[in-house]
Amino acid sequence: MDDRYWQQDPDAPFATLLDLVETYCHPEAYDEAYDDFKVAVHLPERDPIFDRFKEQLAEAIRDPSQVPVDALLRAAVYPDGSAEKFLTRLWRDLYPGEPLPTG
Amino acid sequence: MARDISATPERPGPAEVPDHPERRRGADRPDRVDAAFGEVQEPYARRLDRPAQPGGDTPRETIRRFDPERAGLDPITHDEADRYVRDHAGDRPSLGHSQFVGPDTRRVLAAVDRGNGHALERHGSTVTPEMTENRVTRLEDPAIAENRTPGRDAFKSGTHACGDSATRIRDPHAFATCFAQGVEHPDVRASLDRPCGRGERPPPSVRVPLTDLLGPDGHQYCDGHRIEPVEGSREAAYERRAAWVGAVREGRDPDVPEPTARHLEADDFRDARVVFAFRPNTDRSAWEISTMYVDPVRRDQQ
Repeated sequence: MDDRYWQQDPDAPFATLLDLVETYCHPEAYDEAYDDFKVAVHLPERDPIFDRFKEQLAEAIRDPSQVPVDALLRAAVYPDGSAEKFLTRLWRDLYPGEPLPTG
Repeated sequence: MARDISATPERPGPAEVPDHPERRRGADRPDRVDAAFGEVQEPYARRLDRPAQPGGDTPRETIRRFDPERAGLDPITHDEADRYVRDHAGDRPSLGHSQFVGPDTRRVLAAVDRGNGHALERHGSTVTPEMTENRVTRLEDPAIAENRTPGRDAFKSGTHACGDSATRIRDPHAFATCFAQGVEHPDVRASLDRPCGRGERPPPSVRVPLTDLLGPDGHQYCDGHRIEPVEGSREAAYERRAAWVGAVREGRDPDVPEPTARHLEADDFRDARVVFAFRPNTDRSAWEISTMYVDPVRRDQQ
């Protein structure tokens, strides 16, 4: 059984968030992946998926109770101790200077 | 496209690898292979002429036609592969078994090792069980030849990272077969063939059943370690690991216990997937396999 459901169903809740987090933040991602992520989200010619990602990241930060924590942990293997802390760090790294999304 | 070998100063100086015809021929002789990789029940070299799938090509055929360029790697001839192994086996432990394998297998291993990815260094047959345990518990990077320390990465300045498990394919012929078969797998091909350039995101990782690549008993060639949860929580285990490694790196006494891991035996790799992840090549003109590793299914997921 493969548990990466977000790869099979792009319309699943937070699928884009999980997809890009796994691609750029997973420990086995390539060396420069996280730095590439910080650049890619701001490229003028960026793939529209990065805008969907930002929307989903904001939604997750606004209401962490909606985040599929087990899937997020599987995608990122984050060391932060909680999904909320990881998502907040991610927002601050990717969108420095932009306020954290609130309710 | 090829890695700049001089950029890995952790490695000691080169050692001599004898270039002798017998070395080439001896690779697939079972007695030679048994001596080198005796821990595996049946060395994969003995089954290179048996198709992994009924009616399919044999591993030997797949390895023989391996085209590095289809994997985003630099082309390499057999002679160039021999020379590469001879020149670098001493300073690149990941090539240590390449002197015991046949020329076709050696060409695959050399092509992978020359690339920008880290599959061979971190998941190949020269990685030991102690190294997989120390990687998953202490974040020690198997790609560092000597003087590994918690959190130190062979290729970047930041802290080394690891998932919930660290695994290896413990037979070089099986590793080469897995890689060469994987490059031909339709899902991997779809990712490698995607356009690459500024603004293009890397293809998502691809997960291929291990049995598709190595056959129904492919699990016999795998092992590794998985981090033990803390009070049932993997999230807490990753946090504790980061705290322990962080303290050691800063020269402090950790205020949390050292993480522990469970050994993953061959049976844990039944139903496993082989994960192929991707990265841009050096000039960002094509996608390259950044790593390949076997990911066992967790029992609590089955």
